[in-house]
Amino acid sequence: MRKILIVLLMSGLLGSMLTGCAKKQSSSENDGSSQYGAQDKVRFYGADSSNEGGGQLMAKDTYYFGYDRYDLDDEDTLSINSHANKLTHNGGNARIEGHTDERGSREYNVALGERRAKAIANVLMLKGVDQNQVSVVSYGSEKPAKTGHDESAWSKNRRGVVAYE
Amino acid sequence: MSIHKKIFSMIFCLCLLGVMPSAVASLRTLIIDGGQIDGLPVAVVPFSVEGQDKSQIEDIATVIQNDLQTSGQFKVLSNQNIRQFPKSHIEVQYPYWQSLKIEDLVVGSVQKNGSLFTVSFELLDVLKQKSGEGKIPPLLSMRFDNIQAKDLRALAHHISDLIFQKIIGTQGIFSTRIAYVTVKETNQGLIRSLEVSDYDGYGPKTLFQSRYPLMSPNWSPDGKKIAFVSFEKERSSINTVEVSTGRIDRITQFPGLNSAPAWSPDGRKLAAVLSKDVGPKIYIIDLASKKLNQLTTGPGIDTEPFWASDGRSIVFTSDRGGKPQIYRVALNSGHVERLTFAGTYNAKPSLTPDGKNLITLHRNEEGLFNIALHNLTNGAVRVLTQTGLNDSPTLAPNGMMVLYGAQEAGEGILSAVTLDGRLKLRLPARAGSVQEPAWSPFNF
Repeated sequence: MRKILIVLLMSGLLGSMLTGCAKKQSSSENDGSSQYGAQDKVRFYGADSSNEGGGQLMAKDTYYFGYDRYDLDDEDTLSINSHANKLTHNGGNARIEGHTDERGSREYNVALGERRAKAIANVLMLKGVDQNQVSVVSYGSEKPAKTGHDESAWSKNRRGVVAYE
Repeated sequence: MSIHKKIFSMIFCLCLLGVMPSAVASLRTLIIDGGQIDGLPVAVVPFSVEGQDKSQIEDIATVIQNDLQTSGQFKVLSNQNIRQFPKSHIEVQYPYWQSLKIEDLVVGSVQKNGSLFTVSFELLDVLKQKSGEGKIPPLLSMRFDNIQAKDLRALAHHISDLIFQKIIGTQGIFSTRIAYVTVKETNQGLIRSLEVSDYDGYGPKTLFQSRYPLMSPNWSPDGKKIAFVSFEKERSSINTVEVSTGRIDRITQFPGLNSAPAWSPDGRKLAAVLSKDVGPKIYIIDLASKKLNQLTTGPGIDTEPFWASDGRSIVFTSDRGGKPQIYRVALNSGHVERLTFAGTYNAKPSLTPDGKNLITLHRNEEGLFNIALHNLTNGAVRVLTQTGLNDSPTLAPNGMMVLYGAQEAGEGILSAVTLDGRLKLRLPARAGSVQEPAWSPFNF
């Protein structure tokens, strides 16, 4: 079991580092997935609302938001808390990225994306992570995870991402 | 690209890890895309070219025809309907042009002297010429000597400007330029470029390239520099690039937002959006001293500053009232007033040069994002576009046309519409997407 957790953990770290590159990601879509708790990485099956094993929760690094929203639900907060645990115990730095869907004006979207990133960063710092370990950047609508002009694409783009540096 | 610029790009794009993108991204030509092709009927006769291989000379008359036609103010006679080819008013038979319902006529000639050219043109009032009377003098009659071949296109645009000013009474935009961002997919990922071209898409030049997003190009009032936002190494920063040399200067790289730069009309300051302390709020940066002055305060997001032409106020987007709307702040007092009340969302404001009208990105109750014109005197609002997925409106410096980002077949293109709603135009990229246009000022 532990080996599986470690593999998932390493994959999660690798995945979160790769989100920093300007690589075009192919989408592996779950239709009808809800905004919260939906994964964009196929390898984390069944990690939805389980409390078992900090490794599975922390492996999730992307959090989704409703239109014009930047609030996090309890499940996401729990998941972010496990990132906080890692940062407080092991040190290191995390960059929190905020993103929006494509609609609306680009610079207003940059500001909205920052609200989302800051919401995540605030959870980290509330759990004791030092503010010097956390940086925030917003890409607004400039780095969509999924291209497309409908809600199935937009819901995948309204997100915050924890990326370890 | 010249060798100098190639080396410059390589030094500046070490982040590309040795990737040199293939062909320079460029736009197609600005073409008419619908609307009413109406306006003053004019004809531009192909200029006579004396004693030279015509294929090597820029077709001046075609450039002038395209300029006048795309302005939306003229209905230009097509070449296939032209049967007489006068090169000066002496040769013009007015009854022929009057039978074609032409009101103004442009004729001209090109002569080669050594390696340089002499270009002459006349603008003639066909409507006023009465038969049986002596020929009335031309509205314009000019000669340009010692023109190099490479400058013939620019001269054609200048002649268009002279014609436009004479007939319409307003400064033309045919010698202006646009800046814009292109996004192309390569096997190394997405490559973004900041480019400039003539207003019609001709002659694109790459100023900066990156694997990271580029945003918000904004011209200095003298047309010599462009401010823009970059995200090198996952951090936002505001920079300026000198158009003639490609030299980059970093202006800000604070924690948080470094966003939406806007040059003051006197060229000495940049308004910008930062969130390092509170925010996002609008700050004024003195370019010489780099001193910061926080201009807006209070809750919510303030962004997208745009200077009034007298430099005494700035209009901006703010959601301090709940949803994004446009506000104006007076620079000396800090007093803020709200300007837009129609629609559920207004952002990315531009003022027309006379300050009387406001262009915004506007969302209606159905959630469609279009470009809207707000009359600040009487509050009337007119929506200028229909497609619903538009952004980044930028006004021509004579206030007569808006260029904006649109979507076509999954790619970003540029589109334009005249403020009187007469004409729609489009300007797609040759490959990939183009977005975030910024129209240059008049001066160069």
